[in-house]
Amino acid sequence: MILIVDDQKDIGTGLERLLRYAGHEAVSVTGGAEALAMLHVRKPALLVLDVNMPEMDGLTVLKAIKEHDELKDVRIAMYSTDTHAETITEARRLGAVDFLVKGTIGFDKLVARICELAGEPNGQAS
Amino acid sequence: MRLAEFILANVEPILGEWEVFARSIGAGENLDQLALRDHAGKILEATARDMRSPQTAAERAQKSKGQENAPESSGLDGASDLHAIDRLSLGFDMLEVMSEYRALRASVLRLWHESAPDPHERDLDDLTRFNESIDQSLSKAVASYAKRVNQARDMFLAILSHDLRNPLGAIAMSAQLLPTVIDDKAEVLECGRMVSRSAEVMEHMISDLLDYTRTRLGTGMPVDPAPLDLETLGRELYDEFRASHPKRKMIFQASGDLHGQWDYDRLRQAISNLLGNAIQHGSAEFPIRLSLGSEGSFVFIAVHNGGEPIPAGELPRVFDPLIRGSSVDRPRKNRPGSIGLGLYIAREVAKSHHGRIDVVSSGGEGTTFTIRLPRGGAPRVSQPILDAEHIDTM
Repeated sequence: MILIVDDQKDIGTGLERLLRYAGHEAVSVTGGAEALAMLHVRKPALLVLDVNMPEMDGLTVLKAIKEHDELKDVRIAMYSTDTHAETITEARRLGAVDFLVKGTIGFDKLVARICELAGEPNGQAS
Repeated sequence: MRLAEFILANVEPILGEWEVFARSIGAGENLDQLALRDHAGKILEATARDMRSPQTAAERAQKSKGQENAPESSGLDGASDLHAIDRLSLGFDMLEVMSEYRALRASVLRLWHESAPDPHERDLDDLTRFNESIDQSLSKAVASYAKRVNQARDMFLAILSHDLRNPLGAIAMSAQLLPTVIDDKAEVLECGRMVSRSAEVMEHMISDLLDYTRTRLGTGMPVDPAPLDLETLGRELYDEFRASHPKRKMIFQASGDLHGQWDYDRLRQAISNLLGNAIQHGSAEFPIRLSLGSEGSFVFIAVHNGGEPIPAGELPRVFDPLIRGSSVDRPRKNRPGSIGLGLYIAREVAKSHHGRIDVVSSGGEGTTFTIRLPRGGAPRVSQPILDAEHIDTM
């Protein structure tokens, strides 16, 4: 399962649907707190995480997961419009496996990359 | 007494006069004494030092022509740079900064003349040196101000392009999905709704941007006042926000006569922006309160949220989208569907109705934005860059 966290609901559900039609199980939520609650119930193969979100931003969510003994193994890829080198470096330092910039990668490639990071070859259901 | 000595001996009275003027400027009326005086004392002292330093005829000629390689006083330049940047951060526009220098010049010369009514032949030299110093300081301040505004504008455009990328991305996703889901009517409809919602968000952002550019160009925000029941409008917005933010606690209060002549769409936009701001910045632990009330010939609209207060240093610039709480390295985060012009537009809506908006914020009390409007709401044709009263005092 691939979990998507994006406060822009249409982006989250849009990516969720793209992944589902590519044969993967995907779920989207709109906030970090909701994502953390879900992780305690079921760990995804990959967490796709936005950065700029109200209340709890993506880097805070990333840090909270990586500092949690039971959750720290969750693979996390950031997916954001934030292209500041400082943000990307910090995400990498905190343990993100990739930083995907919104709008700079075609959706076919995006889905393929997410599936690759999730360890689910494209076209195969999880 | 020579003018340079007079300035150094009378810094306080000069600053006192200048403060009265700075307070009369729109952005300065809510500032405390310290903020108003900021670097003025240092500018005065640097000016006096500059006047006392030896200067050749060639240097004087260069300086008077404003040539780039004119000799510079580092103290004078530093104080002018800092003053301009501080004024910008406090919400002064460039004309207001320039008018402050004009007022400083006028204050010094009036007080000097009063102290020694009989002119001396040296006075002309002193006056020339003084004017050269003030002109140099002013040109440095203007250059510094313009540079900082350009930096802020570049950052604003970067934020705008970032924020537009999200709804654009949602539209592109829908286009990507359509061929796959074309036989599934429900999915096709959802793609259509997604395109429609995203287009609406982008339209909202672009409308905000147009409002911003229109008001910044000085043509003012057009309003079309008509009889309106503010309580009905307030309750509509309260219900909408409660429905769209079911997890947030909200309170609605209305009292007194809330009828008047206002532009329905613009007032809706202003209150909606304030509520959106409270949702974004307020703590979810505290309720958001929308209060409407009557104060004689005025009504007020107050939006309160709890949580972290706005830092005191940022309060004077909270309505300026180019300056407020952001830097090139770390731009602020806008709420979804917003490009961060909400508070600016709320202020312009209040001004276009001959009203005003104020903000108070503290750790214990939270943050309250209050719009006060006269009931009349006569249409405002255009808004001059400087109000008439400012021009009178220049």
